[in-house]
Amino acid sequence: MIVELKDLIVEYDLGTAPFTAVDIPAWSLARGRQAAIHGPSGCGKSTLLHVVAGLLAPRSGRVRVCGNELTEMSESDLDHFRAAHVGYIFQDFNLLQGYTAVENVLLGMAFSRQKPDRHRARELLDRVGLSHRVKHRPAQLSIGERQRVAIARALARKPELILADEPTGSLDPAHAGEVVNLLREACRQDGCSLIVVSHDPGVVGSFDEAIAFMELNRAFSASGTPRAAAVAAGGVA
Amino acid sequence: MRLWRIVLKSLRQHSLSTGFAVVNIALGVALLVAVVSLREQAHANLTQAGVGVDAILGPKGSPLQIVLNGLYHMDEMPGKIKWPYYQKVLANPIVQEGIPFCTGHSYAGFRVNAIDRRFLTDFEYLPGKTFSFRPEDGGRGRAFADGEEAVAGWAVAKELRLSLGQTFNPVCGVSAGPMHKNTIAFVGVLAPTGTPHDRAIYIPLNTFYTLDGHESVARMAVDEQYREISGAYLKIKRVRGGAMNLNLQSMKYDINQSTEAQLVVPGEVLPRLFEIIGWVDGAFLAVAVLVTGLGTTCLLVSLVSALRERRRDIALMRSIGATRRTVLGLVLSESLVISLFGGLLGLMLGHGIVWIGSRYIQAETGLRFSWLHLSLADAALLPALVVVGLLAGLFPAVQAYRLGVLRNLRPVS
Repeated sequence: MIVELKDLIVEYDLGTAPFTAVDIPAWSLARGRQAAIHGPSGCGKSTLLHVVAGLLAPRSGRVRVCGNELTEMSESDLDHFRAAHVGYIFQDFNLLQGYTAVENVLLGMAFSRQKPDRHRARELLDRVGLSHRVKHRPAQLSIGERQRVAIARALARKPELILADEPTGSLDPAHAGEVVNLLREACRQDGCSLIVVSHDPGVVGSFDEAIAFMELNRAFSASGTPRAAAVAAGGVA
Repeated sequence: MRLWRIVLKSLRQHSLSTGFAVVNIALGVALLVAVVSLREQAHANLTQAGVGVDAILGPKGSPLQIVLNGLYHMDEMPGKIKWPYYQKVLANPIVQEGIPFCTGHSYAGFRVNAIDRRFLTDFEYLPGKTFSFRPEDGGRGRAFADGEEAVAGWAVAKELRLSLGQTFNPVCGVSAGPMHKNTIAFVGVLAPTGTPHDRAIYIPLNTFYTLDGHESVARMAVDEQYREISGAYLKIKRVRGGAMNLNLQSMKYDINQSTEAQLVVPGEVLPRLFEIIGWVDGAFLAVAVLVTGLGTTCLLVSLVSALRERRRDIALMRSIGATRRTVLGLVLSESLVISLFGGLLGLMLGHGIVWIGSRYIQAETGLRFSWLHLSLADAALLPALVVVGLLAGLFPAVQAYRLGVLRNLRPVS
């Protein structure tokens, strides 16, 4: 298994009482598989991805990703884990503005043990259809092109797992389908697993393994608490 | 992408604040380098000026005044000493030789010193170095013979554009005064020595006594009992190993107990001169340190403000695998690059200031300063810059180290 979750509970401290954002008894994803997790905004999808990426520590439970027990790892080990195993795609791309497209992709390799490979960076940009935009900065690219650069960056280190947080959230439906197909194909070619979270049924529909997060997350069905407060507190999607 | 490229890219992204920080550090370092270099060279030069003279026999008065007048051609002698007394001192077994001189005249702002001819031929202004008239050394002509002849120091000849055979009329006094009718011809120019001796004109001792208007002292030229001099450079016999003869102190005591004259050892008086002018270079040094401190603060402010703009970038780097230590290293590296670059610029600027300053100082004093002189500041520069860079970068680096990834990525979904 590439991802194994057991009795996972993630809480946020909202000042008065802890707020349970995620409560998943068990979930796993086989190596090489692609899964889409869908649900409305504020149901905790992004929180789940943050936990799987080692960016957020759960209150309790077991999180095993790429053979690593994340809950037993130090902050520094988690940084190394991300560098070695995980590619992360954000909804708002998170490209560095001062860097060109190829430099943003190279940045994806900068913190891993592998040597920065400009040739591979260009090849990845070529794969996402941006060979003509290599030296353009994010501000000179369309939103769809920026997301393609973000995909190329996530693939740069040849990760075992790609986590995509609402990768089409800023795109129109036509471009959304195109980008998701590109992402899925790229992962298939590189043999890496993929987890996409999205509220867009159009995106989710194309996946073999589509999971409704409300069913997975006991916290959502049990509490019925309005999530606006949690969203305002930051971090709960 | 290599980490050093990330550092350079970040600096380029904040080129304005980076530029200001570099300029501030460069200015501080330049001032420090220039002040310390000039200070060290001034000390060396002033001490060196006394090297050829073990002691000066002078009239009663301020010892510092005697050194300033006798060695640096500044100020005035506080009086005269009698020739027979000078002869008596010369007879002391520890005295190797004496060169008598008379001061108190000038020409075109330069001192005209009447001096024994041996000063030009035998006197060692530095160990083993006597004055040269050889063209290959930068000199011209020859030493004066008796009569109305003069030799100019190198700086005098250069400034007044003297040619051999050119004549002048010495002025009584060191600024304005009555001009003697005697027409004295330049017969030689000394090769440059880098000492205050370059900034004086030398005439024969006897010529001084027989100048027009000196009728009252003309007898001094022929009557040794009546003769007076301003002072005399004394060379003391060395003991084995080249050390100064210990009897110098007892001779000095004896002379200073007398009412006739005093013996001044430049090596003892010069440190007092440094004490007097010490506050000036202390003040310069303080200003330089302040400017460097200001540069460091500017670097700190620039890094902190740059970090504020880059929180998201750093959080993103963390999210794609940059460790806390990597981020700490990146910010510290930026600080080090700025401080080292600023320091390098300051180093060049500082030596440039010394180059410009040395030309001015040489023109004014005859002392030679080298812009290539490596001072204590140069030696301490690299470790100091590393410390400055680390100190200034530490606070923002720790801030970057502690930066919360998720909080600064602001997830939208």
